[in-house]
Amino acid sequence: MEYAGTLDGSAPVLRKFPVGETVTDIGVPIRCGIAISAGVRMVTTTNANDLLGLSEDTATYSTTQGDPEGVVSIIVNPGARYRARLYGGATDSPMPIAVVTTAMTAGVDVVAAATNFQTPDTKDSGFIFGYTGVNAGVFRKITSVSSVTATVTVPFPNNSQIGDQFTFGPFSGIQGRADQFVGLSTDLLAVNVDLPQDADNNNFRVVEFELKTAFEEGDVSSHVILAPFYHAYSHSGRTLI
Amino acid sequence: MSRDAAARVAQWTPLRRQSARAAGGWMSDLVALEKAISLCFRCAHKFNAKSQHYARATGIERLHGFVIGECDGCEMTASRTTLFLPEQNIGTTWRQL
Repeated sequence: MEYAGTLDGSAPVLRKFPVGETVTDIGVPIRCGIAISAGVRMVTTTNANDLLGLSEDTATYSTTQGDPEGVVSIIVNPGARYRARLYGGATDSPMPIAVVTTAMTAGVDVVAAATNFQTPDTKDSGFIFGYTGVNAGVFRKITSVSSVTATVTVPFPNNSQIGDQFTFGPFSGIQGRADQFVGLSTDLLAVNVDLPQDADNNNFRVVEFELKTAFEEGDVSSHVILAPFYHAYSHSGRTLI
Repeated sequence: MSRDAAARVAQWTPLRRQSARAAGGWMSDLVALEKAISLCFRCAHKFNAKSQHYARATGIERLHGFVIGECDGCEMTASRTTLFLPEQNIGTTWRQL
């Protein structure tokens, strides 16, 4: 992930924190430590309670006397936005692509026989984006799914033909908090679109999409802009999990 | 924020160089550890970033022009500091900005 400005346009505030575990990557979300921690720690793929921000450098945690103290720099604005790539799985992999197998007639049903929009998790209330074909570059929210069909309410401008492609994911960024949290990749640097929608993640909300078509190799270059849901310096009032 | 979280946050004070230590040595340590370095306008021009294989975080400067933070040189909390990052990190953290 990378810092992508703030929602309110305020300037970034940089602080340094001692770490309670080794931070090996730049751009990893860091959260407060628990009571027994010697310092801050990384988030998990589904939990970012008490988030502080992204690591701007790396730090080595050591309890050996004489070793340098592990310190990590973090931009701590509660209103910060973070830009994360979309992975198709838990590790760096292309986004899933649905290939249309039945031509559209009303611009609302994306039928892709080789794709299952319900397994491993439902993409209902997620997003679908024209990757190739006549609807390339068009974003819609999925409002219902069956196993091989994703249905949108606002029709696509054109009727996609057999072979047209779409990318899709389990969140839309335009729905309430109920089920629109994201899941992170195992390296904590990206968003995994293959994880279930989750009402309990309590980590990040999608603010904005930067989806790209096949022309820009969008399956490996699409991003989302995230906002922290439960930042340590905000007042969301959520109970620690 | 919960009371526990607030207490934990309050325990962390910004890390500082020891008072008897010259700023240059502290800066050299930061460079050796490849840390992000923020410097106020009084200190920024004394830091030869290029020779240390550092560069200004141009991505963030494009967004805001500066960072609010404690100067790693003089320890003054400055409303405007310049953020320097190791050159090899520029390509990862700020690649798209």
